Amino acid sequence: MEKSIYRYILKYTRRDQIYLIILTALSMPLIYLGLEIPKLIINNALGGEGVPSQVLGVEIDRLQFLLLLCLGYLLLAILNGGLKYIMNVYRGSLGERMLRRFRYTLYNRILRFPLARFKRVSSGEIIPMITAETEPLGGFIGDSIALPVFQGGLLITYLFFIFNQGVWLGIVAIALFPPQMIIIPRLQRKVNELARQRVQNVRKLADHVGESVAGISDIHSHYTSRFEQATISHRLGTIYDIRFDIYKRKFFIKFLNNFLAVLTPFFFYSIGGYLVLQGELSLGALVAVLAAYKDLSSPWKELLKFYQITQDIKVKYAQIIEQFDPPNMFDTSIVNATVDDIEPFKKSLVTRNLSYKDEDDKKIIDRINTQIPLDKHIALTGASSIDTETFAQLLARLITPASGQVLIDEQDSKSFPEALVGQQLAYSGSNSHVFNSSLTDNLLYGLKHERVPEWDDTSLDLEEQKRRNKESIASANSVDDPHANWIDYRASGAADPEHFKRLINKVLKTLEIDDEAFELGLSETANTERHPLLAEQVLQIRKALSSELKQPQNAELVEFFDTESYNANLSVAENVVFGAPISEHYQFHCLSGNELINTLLKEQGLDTIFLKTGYRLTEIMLELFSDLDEDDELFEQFSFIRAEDFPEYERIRAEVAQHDLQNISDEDRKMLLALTYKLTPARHRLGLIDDSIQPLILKVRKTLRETLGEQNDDITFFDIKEYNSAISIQDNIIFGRIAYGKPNAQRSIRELIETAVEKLQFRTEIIWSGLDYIAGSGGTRLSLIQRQKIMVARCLFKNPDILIIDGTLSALNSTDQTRILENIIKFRKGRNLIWSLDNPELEKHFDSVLAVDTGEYTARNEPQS
Amino acid sequence: MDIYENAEQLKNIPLLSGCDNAQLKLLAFTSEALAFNPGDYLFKINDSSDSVYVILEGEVDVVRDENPDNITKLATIGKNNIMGEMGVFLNVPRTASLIAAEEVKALRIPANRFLKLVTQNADIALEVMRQLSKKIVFTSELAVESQTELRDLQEAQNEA
Repeated sequence: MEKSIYRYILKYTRRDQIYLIILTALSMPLIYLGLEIPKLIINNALGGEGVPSQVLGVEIDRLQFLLLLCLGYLLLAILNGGLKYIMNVYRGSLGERMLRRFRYTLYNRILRFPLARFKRVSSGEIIPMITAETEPLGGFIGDSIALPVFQGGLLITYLFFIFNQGVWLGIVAIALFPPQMIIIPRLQRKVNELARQRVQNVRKLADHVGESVAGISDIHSHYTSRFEQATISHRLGTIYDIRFDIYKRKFFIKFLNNFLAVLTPFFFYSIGGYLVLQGELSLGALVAVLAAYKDLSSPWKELLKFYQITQDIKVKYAQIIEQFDPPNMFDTSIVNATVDDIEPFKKSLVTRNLSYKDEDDKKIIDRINTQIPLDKHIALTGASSIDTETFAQLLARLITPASGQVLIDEQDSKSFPEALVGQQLAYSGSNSHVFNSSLTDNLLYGLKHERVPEWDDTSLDLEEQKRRNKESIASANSVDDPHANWIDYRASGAADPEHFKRLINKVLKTLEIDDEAFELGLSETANTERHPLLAEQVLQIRKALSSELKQPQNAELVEFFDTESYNANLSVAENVVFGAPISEHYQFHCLSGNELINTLLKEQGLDTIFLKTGYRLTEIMLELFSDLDEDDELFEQFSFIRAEDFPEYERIRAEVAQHDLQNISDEDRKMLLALTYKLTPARHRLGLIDDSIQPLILKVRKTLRETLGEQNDDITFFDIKEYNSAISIQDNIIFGRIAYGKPNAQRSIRELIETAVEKLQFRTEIIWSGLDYIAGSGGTRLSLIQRQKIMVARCLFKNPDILIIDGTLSALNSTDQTRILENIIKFRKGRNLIWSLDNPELEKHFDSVLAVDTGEYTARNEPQS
Repeated sequence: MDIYENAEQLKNIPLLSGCDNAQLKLLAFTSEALAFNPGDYLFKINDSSDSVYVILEGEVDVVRDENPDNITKLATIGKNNIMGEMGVFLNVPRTASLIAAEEVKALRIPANRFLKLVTQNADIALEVMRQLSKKIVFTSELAVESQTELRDLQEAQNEA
């Protein structure tokens, strides 16, 4: 990377900077004229000297001359403003474009970092470097040349103007520039050093915050929050001290500048005044000089400010790029090169004198010579898991050997581009990652090598695409559309999409992800656009299940969503809305403020009843819970009133006791209603919402539905004939609520669903819908076992010639591990599999066992040829 | 059955006789009211002891059935009894299965809630001790009886 920011700017924006300079140069005469015209107006048009008798052949008088000049002045101002606007926009876009290029370059360099680099820098440090720290660079790049040229030009223009008035005046006006040019850089040097320290400390702060987030459960479980607070406080204190020091110095520089700026007028007033009094200088000349000096000081100040910013930016730039230039980066030819024809790896994987040293120069792998056949299943063992992990990563070419080679088909794998290795070799290890996207995306991540150009399925229209591409090219960014289809089924070895689907099901079965995906599918809402068959299938399952649920032994398991009857297993709010709320003001906790519903309640006379019920609930809750501690978990689990709201409700009770329930404020009314809406008769068993009230609520339900209409943006109503995309698949299937107080209902229902789905053979669609589940940041919404399974499945999809699995699946218990290992071995029959085992029990499933410390084989299943 | 009736019923349970009305109501409100059909399991042997059951109506069988070929019924317990508390106190899995012998209504109280109740209320704690002591007495008597029977059997065998 370019060592200085100016070199970087000149390399990529030379043309733009020249264009900006031309624009700046163009604006100079306009500015000069802008100074000249007022003088003409005062001296000539008003002063009456030298009024021309005609302009461009047209005769004019003095007034017309004045108007003409004024018009010219206006025109000039517009031109000036317009030019400034163009320049500002141009500067802005230039800066942003360069910022984009710069960030993209940095990101690309991260992709080329050797793995060992990430042991030293955390993401907490890297992220702000690319995001926050680069930010001011963008603004600067646009200004970097144009601003000094502009302000410098302005200065020269003014100077030219002043020197035109008188040479001595000019000399006096700039007399104090040289001392400023000497003192300020000296002061600035210390500020630069402080700015450098500040950047480093802010990075450490970011790193520490990142650490705290990652270790949050340890902080809680070991009560180390005070220690962490102290550490952060110390860090913030250091940053404060540095900043404070910077401020003192920066503002001292400013003070000095300001002081020098008034020092010159001081000399003008004193010495010039003396000369005027002595009659050696005319008063007019002195006034002119003062006016000129005032104009002059503004660009000069700007230049000084620019100088300070430049220094600051230079420090920042240097601080960023030094972090992005570690030794042993992967070559661009390896990371970015594309390969047209991929020849499969066929023969063997050979290590020749393979050695590796860690960061502390400790030898981990020492001159290993061995050969791994590409049609066998090999288990790796070693003295420690570090040895096997290192060896596996060397084979996978994730780390670079200290000496020796890994040869694939007799070629040094060092020279292979990732495009080749990444398609024919799969590695899953302890630092494999689950991305925060759907399970499908995670599973098929290994097939997203290159955008498939012949599938012209970009998400953008042509114009937008063209515009975006133009911009991308201008900043040397990627022009591929990430939202298009990147999953190339052909990379999995599948012949066509149907074959690919079968393959996916096979891999899911191999890793036993299918059951989990089925569970997820049932419990989540489904995207029926992506799974068009699903809605119809779910309705069929619903139908099949409803007859099953009507059998006497199942009769009481579910209370169905029946439009015509009150559902005691739903809350009052759910009974009123009777569907899945979509818009904010139909969310269950917002109903008390919903005007339409309040009107409907009033029509049925329910407003008073609900209010009374709410008041009764207040009494009950206050009676039941007021003796408990505020932080008692019962509050959160059972109380309708949160602990912190207790005083409010106590106040309401006291007020109602004194006055009348009807006279309370709107806010209090809402609070009482909110309690009524939470009530679920079957669960809470409070004897409220009895048979006399239920028909009234049903009427509200009915009118609400009629008023909103079946198709609306507020509620997706329950409809026995329709799929409701706002509730989970399971809720859609049973189309009711599992009855309260039936201890085994949940399990029985699940069994009934399983049977029905199996019988109708609709399992696949539900599994696929389950794969839409979002894995969460770092896969945190999944269990460790699920994450590990996904990492291995991801490798299987690639159908690689070499498959290296490094310790993953360790989270499974040994029975499950054995079973899944057997599945994988079956799946990879006749194909290569290299597995670093942490459980020697499993060795017997492999063809042979390779000791990575010696390179020696022990045969297992069959003798090593 | 609402929580007020539940609370009334809880009054009949010796273990909870030290609780005042408000406490019983809270207990009723915060525990699960469950209905079991004859033959339903309340819990199975070796399940984790995550709750205690208050039998409000009906009878339950205490059964050791970990081996399907050798099912032993240990006792039949009627209403107003608390079941499953030993496992909760000792924090060990269920030592027997509990099966509804007829239609059973029960309140399920989560283990931590029950432990809190016992540790915060001396009357309850004393009652727990009393009942557990009774159980020990009962078990010791059973042991003595069994030993006598065993001796008799052995003697009979020797004579034969």
